[in-house]
Amino acid sequence: MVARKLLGGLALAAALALSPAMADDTPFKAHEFTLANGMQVVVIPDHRAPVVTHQVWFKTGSADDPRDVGGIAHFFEHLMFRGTPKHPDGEFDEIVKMNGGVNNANTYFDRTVYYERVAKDRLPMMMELDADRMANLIIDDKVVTSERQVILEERNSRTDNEPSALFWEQMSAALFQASTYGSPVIGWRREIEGLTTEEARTFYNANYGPNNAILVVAGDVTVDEVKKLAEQYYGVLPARTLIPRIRPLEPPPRAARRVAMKDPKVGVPNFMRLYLAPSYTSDKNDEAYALEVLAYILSGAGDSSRLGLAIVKRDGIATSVGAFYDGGGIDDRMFGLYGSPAAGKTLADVEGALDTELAKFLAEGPTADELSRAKTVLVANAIYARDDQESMANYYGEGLTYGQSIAELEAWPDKIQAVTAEQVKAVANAYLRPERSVSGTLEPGEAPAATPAGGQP
Amino acid sequence: MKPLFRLAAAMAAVVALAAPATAFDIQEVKSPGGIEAWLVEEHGLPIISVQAGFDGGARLDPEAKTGLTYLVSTLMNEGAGDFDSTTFTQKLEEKAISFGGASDTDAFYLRLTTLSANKADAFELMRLAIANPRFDQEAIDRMKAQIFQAQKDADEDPNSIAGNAWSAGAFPNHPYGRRTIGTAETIGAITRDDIADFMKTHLGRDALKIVVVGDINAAELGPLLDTLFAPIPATRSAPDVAPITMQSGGTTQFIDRDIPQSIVVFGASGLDLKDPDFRPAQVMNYVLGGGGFSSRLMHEVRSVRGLTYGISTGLASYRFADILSGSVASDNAKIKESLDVTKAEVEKMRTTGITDDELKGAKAFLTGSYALRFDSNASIAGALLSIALDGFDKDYINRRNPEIEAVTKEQANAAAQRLLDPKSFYWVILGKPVGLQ
Repeated sequence: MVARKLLGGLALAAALALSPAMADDTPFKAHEFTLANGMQVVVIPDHRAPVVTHQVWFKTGSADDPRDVGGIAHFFEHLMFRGTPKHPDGEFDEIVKMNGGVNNANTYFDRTVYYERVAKDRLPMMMELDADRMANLIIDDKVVTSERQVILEERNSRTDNEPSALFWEQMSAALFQASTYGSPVIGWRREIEGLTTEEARTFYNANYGPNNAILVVAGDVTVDEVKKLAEQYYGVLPARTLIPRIRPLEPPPRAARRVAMKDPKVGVPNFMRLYLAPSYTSDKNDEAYALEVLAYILSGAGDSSRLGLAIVKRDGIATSVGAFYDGGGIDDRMFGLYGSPAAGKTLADVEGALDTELAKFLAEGPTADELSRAKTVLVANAIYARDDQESMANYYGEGLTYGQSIAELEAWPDKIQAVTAEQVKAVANAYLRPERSVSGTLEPGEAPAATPAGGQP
Repeated sequence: MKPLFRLAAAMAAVVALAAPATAFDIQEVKSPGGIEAWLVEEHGLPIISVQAGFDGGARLDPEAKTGLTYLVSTLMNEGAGDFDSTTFTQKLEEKAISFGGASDTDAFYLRLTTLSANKADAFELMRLAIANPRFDQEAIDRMKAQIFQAQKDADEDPNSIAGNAWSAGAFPNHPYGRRTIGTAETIGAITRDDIADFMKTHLGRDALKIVVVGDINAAELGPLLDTLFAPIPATRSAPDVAPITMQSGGTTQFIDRDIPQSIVVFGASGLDLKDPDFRPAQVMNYVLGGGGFSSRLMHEVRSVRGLTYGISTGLASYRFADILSGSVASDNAKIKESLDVTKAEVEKMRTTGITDDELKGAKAFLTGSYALRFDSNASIAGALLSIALDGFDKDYINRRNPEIEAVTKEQANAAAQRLLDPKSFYWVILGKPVGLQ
């Protein structure tokens, strides 16, 4: 197995602490600084409403879960709500609600985020609560046992009850042959069943230090206010000794793979193809921006985009088709195509039509109009995104945890604007190749008989 | 019940509970032609949002053509004037304009978002879509095919099956009991004439509410309202439905489905938004199942027993019916225990009501979180349109928190007694539940 060590949180934080402009409070722009203990802080002022979004991002996610402890990052996210000596089990949520706030958390492959949205004068209280649980969490058998049951029910609700979610798990597992992106964020059922209190403690000590975290505050605040509060509440936490993020790298893909799944509970047959593609973090020469534009050209305007015009409107082979680029992550992520057959057509027809249109695109590239429309919409979306302080906080928090810089994140519209037709054609030819792909079909029908023990995912 | 010490500690940490005021002004704008809108000027971003809502929606669909409202909503950006579907879409893209229709049980919506620099093109395309929609047969057939697929997906989706079954049992022989996307038969029966008639009969300026938020002022908006909405008939002529009270109370319906986790949807009659008991019921519901982890149901069923990922209840108001509804999902082997605990908590709430601390907590959240609904142009526009369609004036946003503050424990407990009669609850259980049948 090829493995790569990523920069530790501290080194990364130091590398990113570039912006000294503390007095600058330009709205809708990100301002950053770093606390002495290594915690990164990002402030995005937006004074339109007396509301703030407070987020703590940890640079660990399911793709960092050790091989024998799959699901631990997500499992641990649940434990973070179960109490400290100062704020016993249940009180965290109670205090947030008593102050008119809403809160939650979520885990993804490369990061875990905890957040509250609250009236601006309650910000110090939210910092007190989040700083407390970063350092003083109670982890015992009682909470681990009860959360394990909750998480198994979560897996039932999100995945095991839904054939399309089970299909997605199989597609991802086939696409990523070595990368831990191939395992579901929540973990496989038998992994969740086996997670222990001791593993949770080890995980906490190895990951939940201020030097592995990014604080993002968006909304009706100034940089100086946040700096003062962040130093008071988070600045006093000791840094932890972090374990390096050891990440298996994908080997060069050599063979096209296929997944075929049937389930009587499928409503509409679906074809899907995933290609291994670089992410915004792992790409070279700004290929991610070209992939973003490529996805928009193929299906950003639905039936009136390249794929829909040909396969849905002109030929009537599919009811709907689409393309997407998922470039969010530290390592290579994916580019996808999908479609559902029109009445009287088959999944093979849809796959054939997608391949035909793809071959045409790979030979010709985009038209000037297609490229221009895609860039106009994508660049405008960056302005529309400013309307929502929580989306802004997510954009910066996520990008930074994936190793991008604020300068990079703010240059996104310029980089999109700079994409050329040649670049779009080049990334399509480089990455939309059979040997990089998994093609899958999900259709109604009898599933194979269940295997006896351990048959459940 | 939550241990009291925990609540007490949470209380101690609370600072002054002054609910933050909403930080914007609503202007009432009237066009020269008499069309009214609410305007919130916000020049901090170069964005304008126009949201129009027509009271009516899917409840006006003839039974044999259920899904008409939804189908038309999908066609609003599929071509207008000289521009066919593809050209119209490209015109929107060229100026990064977002425009389209939407619908729900009680309203039909038109929504536009544009950069203020492109407002002239945006308003012209919206005007064209309202005044002269094409409804080309090609687009109608394509949208129908996509709706047939959405129906097939919903036919197999466990949450949709359970939810639709509950509505059908609660509102038999009434539009509220039917799926707003219709069936293959009802969508199949809709003709182009039906669609063209929809614009003349289902929509009317007397049923229209408009909210505009963003980088535009009243002087510009006034005449624009006439330009955009004058083609709409002055009055809505489609006949309205009769009010209905929820049916099937006291019964349980089982749906067999081979899935590992059973899904339960339940509900009882609710209260009209203008009923004097509505605010007390809102407070009571927060304590019972509306308050997430602070609710009794989430605490007992999830936090204490680990029986579910989520359980919640909520008050929902259709224009002509009101419900208190809820849902929970648990492993087939555990769903019986989940329901036993749920029913015991509902009964306990009915008989013993809420505590003083719970009253305080519910009020603190319900009033304190209100400002969170108004923190972006899009959320302000959506929230205000919903208030307008519910028939309230613009001062509603200032009255709402004091109304909640005024609720007493006795009022909340009276609302519990009024709403939580076990005989009024209707349960739908889907899955392979163990020990229930």
